[in-house]
Amino acid sequence: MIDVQLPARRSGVIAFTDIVGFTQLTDLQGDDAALEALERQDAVVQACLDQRGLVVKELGDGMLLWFDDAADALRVGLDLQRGFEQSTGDSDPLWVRIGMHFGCPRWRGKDIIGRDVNLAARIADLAGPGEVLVSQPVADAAGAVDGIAYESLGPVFVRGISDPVPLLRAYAL
Amino acid sequence: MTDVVATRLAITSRSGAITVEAADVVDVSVNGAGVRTEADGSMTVIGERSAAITVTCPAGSAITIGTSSGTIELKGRFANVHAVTGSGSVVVDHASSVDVRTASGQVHVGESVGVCRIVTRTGNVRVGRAGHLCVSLRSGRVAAGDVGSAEVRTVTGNVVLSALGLGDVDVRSVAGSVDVSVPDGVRPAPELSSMTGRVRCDCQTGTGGVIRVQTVSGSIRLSTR
Repeated sequence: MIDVQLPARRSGVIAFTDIVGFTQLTDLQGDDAALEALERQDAVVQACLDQRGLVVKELGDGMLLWFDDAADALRVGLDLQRGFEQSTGDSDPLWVRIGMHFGCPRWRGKDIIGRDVNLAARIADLAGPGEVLVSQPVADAAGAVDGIAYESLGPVFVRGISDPVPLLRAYAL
Repeated sequence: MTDVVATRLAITSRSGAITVEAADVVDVSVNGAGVRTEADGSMTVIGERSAAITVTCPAGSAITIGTSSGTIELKGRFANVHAVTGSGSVVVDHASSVDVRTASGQVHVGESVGVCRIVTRTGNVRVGRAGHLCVSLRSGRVAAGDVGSAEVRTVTGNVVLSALGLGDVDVRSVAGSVDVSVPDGVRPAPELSSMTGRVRCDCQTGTGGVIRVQTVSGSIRLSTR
């Protein structure tokens, strides 16, 4: 059971993870394999978070994460992708896409809601397996982070958000 | 021959077709949208809702396009291309590198000299030639011609790849079939595995580029051409 604690600050990074192809994997390999994939995802997430962030909630085949510190969010995001890649077996892929946005969501108990949460989810939709996509505010809040660089994808429109969002692909140097 | 200065262009439009032609011109001309020159010399094109945009720019320009829906067509030779659209087909003739993301729609890249990264959920992907192909597709079909190296991930999408056999190829699919070919005479180092799908290797193997293909249920075939 994951223990969620309210963060000290209200502004921070909202991150969504999503296992690509989870439905098909479940269909092909059965519920036990699906459960095993989720447990592997949990194990990688818990190992990588290491007090730097928290799991707000689990979302079936993904997770909603929270980080007080944007640089930590970026480091954890790339650590997660390395962990998922190492955790992928020959016949049981664990492909995960990650999207992040820096904002000030509203806390509702141990959950977060609001435009910034929706935007983070839409950013994750644009990521490919193994990628970490972030909005410009994440990079601005993080400042220069050793070992991490960005490729600008430009201002993009995402579903349900009226204004274009400057988007970046974060990658490890 | 005109003395052409390559340009950096960002085009943002909520919807409507966007056509950009890289030509032997010096100036950028735009129809259907406003233009703003930024402090760093780059140009921003901002479209009106649903209006079609047509741009002519110097060959070798770098282009960034963001739209929620509508087709994107880039004619001619470009530097780096970034294009994100919620839905709609994307066509790129020739670029130094390509990054295309679309939820649904066909993607066709003639040639990407360097990296050709395509992320799409549904829709067919066709690439004529790429230095390094990087494709993520849920359903549809990936067909790529002369590819130096590749990383391809599909859920149910089928993959047909003509590798040059020089660099490493890594294709993984849950339920899609994968067909990789190398030129006659090339002896790749295959690592083919499928949990329940049929695996065939119809080429001579050796110590060339690694051809790694993994599927859960999709069939795998490695052959020469």
